[in-house]
Amino acid sequence: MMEALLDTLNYTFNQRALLAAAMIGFLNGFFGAYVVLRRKALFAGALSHTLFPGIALAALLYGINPLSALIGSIVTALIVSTGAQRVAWKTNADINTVLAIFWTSSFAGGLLILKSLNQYINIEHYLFGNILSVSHFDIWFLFIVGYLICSTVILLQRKIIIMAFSKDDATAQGINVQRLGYLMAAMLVIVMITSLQAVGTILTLGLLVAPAAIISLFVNSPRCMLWGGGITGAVLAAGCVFISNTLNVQTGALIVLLLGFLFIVAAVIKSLIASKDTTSECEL
Amino acid sequence: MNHKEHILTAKNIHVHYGDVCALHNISFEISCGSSLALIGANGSGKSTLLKTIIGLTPPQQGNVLWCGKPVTEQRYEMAYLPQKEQIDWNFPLTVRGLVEMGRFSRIGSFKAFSKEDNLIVDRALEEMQISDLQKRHISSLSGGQQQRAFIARALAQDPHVLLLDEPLNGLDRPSRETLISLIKNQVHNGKLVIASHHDLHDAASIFDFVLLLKRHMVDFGPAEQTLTPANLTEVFT
Repeated sequence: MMEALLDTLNYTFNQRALLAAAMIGFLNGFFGAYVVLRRKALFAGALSHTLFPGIALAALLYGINPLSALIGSIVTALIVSTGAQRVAWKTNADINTVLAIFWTSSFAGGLLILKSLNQYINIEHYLFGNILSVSHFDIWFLFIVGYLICSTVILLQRKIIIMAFSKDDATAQGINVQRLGYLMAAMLVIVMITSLQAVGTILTLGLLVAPAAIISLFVNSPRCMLWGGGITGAVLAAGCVFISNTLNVQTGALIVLLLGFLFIVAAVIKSLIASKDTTSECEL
Repeated sequence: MNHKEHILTAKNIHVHYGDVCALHNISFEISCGSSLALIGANGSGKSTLLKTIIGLTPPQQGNVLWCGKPVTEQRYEMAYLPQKEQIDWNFPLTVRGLVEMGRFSRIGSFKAFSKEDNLIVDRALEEMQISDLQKRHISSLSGGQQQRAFIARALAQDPHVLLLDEPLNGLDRPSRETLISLIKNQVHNGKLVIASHHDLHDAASIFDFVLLLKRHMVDFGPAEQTLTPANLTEVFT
């Protein structure tokens, strides 16, 4: 078994996949802490579905390649998120309702665009990811994007933590909440794009939210959630590259499935600890 | 500069939520080393006025100045205690972590916590008698302890002005007494304390000045002179 696992490291594409999975896992787990703290998981879910129509639109206009997919995804995600917020604000409609309409419409539009294209595009690759197809360019792209995003979050962490705790508190302390909110939304889109290779647009939310959500059950510190989420994401994603190779299953699906399983285990442990604490308090 | 020269000025404040007028033509001036109670019925605009002073609710007309400059340019001089209902008590935060947040606006984004910052946090925790609770999660505190934790955060910010929204609401007797003595201490140390307040019986014994609100300013002045039966009838009917 161990030999089979180590055997996978003999192949360059597996080495790249392992490195990419660790970086993607860390970046998602790290940034996901902000999403969990702000209770924005469903907002992030809606955004993740807008990446796909962006890729379709880019394919229609410029042909499919990593750069056009990246730009297309950023543009549609930003249009949908800021557009939905503006419509909700102008009409007093519920932001979740507007967002649901916007992302399902854009997803449907993406499907129609892809069907109308004459060239062959492997939709499954973008929907569910394929970590084994990571190139040298992707590794460098991941490293640079990950470095920039983690550095920005670390530099702004005090402001981010206050804003996540209370927008009013942040404003009262002189933080420009609107500007910081837009910056975080833009970085969220970029983080999700980086995970396309590993888990695709459909499953990206799981990789983003689950690591920090698991850690949040056991810590009382936003900083611990950031670093704990990052480490959990990195270890699990890299581990899944080994396991998926051995079991011959899709890596992205395995990562998200295992994260979901770990969350349930963590929730059970947490509830057991909580009930034990309650019992000891009653005995006192 | 003498504390008495620190003056908060509200000039012709008008605030509207859509078509609803929340505050109409509020003007007053008050200096450091005093305390002001905002008194009025529910919906009279007390919380809105506090939020306008700190800059959370921008007025459609008028402005709030601190030492002659807009408060929005010097928010670090003011600490705001929100109502308990507005706080996310499940946020992963210990009592110490909450109080440390008060230092963020002073030390900025990049500077590390110094020994002095930690001392200020320790002092704020001690002053509010919650040092022994500093490792507890904020949700595990009683109502009074939660209120004291937030006031400790405000103290850690070392502000000139404390803006407190219903600070004595729902507190048990010991917490209430601790808080009243804190308000008096802060005023004695030259700070300005502005709080929304419900209880008319003890307002004059806690606060130096009173501003009676009914979306417009009914009266403003020294507590004893302002809390007259005629004024109170106008405010609460």
